[in-house]
Amino acid sequence: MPRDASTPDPLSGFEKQLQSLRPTAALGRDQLMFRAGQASVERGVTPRRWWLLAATNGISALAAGLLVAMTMQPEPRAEEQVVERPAPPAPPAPAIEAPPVRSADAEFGYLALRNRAIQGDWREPLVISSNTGWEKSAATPSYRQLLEQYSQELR
Amino acid sequence: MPSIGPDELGRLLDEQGPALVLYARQWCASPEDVVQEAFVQLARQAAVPDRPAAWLFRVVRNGAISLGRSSQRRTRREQSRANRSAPWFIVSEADRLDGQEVAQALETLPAEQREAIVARLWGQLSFEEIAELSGTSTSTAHRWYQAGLTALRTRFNVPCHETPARPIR
Repeated sequence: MPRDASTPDPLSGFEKQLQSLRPTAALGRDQLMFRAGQASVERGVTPRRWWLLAATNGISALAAGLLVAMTMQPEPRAEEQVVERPAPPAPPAPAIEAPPVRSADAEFGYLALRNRAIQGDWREPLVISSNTGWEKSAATPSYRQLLEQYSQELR
Repeated sequence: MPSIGPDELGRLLDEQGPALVLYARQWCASPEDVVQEAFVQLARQAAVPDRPAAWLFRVVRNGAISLGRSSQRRTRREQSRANRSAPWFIVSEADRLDGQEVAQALETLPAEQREAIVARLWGQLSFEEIAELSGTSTSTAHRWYQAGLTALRTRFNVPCHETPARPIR
């Protein structure tokens, strides 16, 4: 039958002898008391309070930062930007006056002959001049004259 | 109830410190660390437990078992060597029992019997408190204690309720 826990039996002689043995304990009393003191102080600030404190500080810092950012906006700064604009139309080039054409060139020059060829002006034959390349056929007989001259010689 | 003061903490340390170390030594190789941590936890409590000694034994038991398991994972051989090297009791010529022999005899006991004897004799806990610690009934705790004590008596040739005929050295 077990004994009542509240009224334990007195220890026997053997139990007392066992009890008289002192267990070894290398407990650093000073260090333990120091750590216990630290723990008792830390107890005042529970982790939840730390969390609340940190959250409050964070929100306050954020609000202050936003306030400063809103009140101290920087002045608008002129920004330089390179814009590619289309070049304005160039003014018409001044007309270059053609150099004065000599009379022979005016009548028998290459341009005059080309114009005549384009316009189909073949009323007068073209004559190649030694100097200008082309001369008027004043001294040269026409086909008709050559034909009459040839027929007279045949007679 | 207010938190524990330094005087009360010092008194508990003097009275229960060595017993708590002996109690924790059953499960881990560094019992002093576990006991120190238990006292720090006690100082951190907002209110002093109803039975501070029993509270300390429970915290030490949990911490020592936890530490012992983690130590076993690391090096079981080193742990057993450290257990053997550390003496369990202070050697004194005035003691009629040899502390080393008692320690060896305690080591041979089943864990629950050894725990009950250490908590009862050196921790001076009641059987009800021992039962709470071990998670068993009071009668079972008392039976473990009696069985362990009988085994020790047999080892040291001590008849029941008698002191040993000669000092065991």
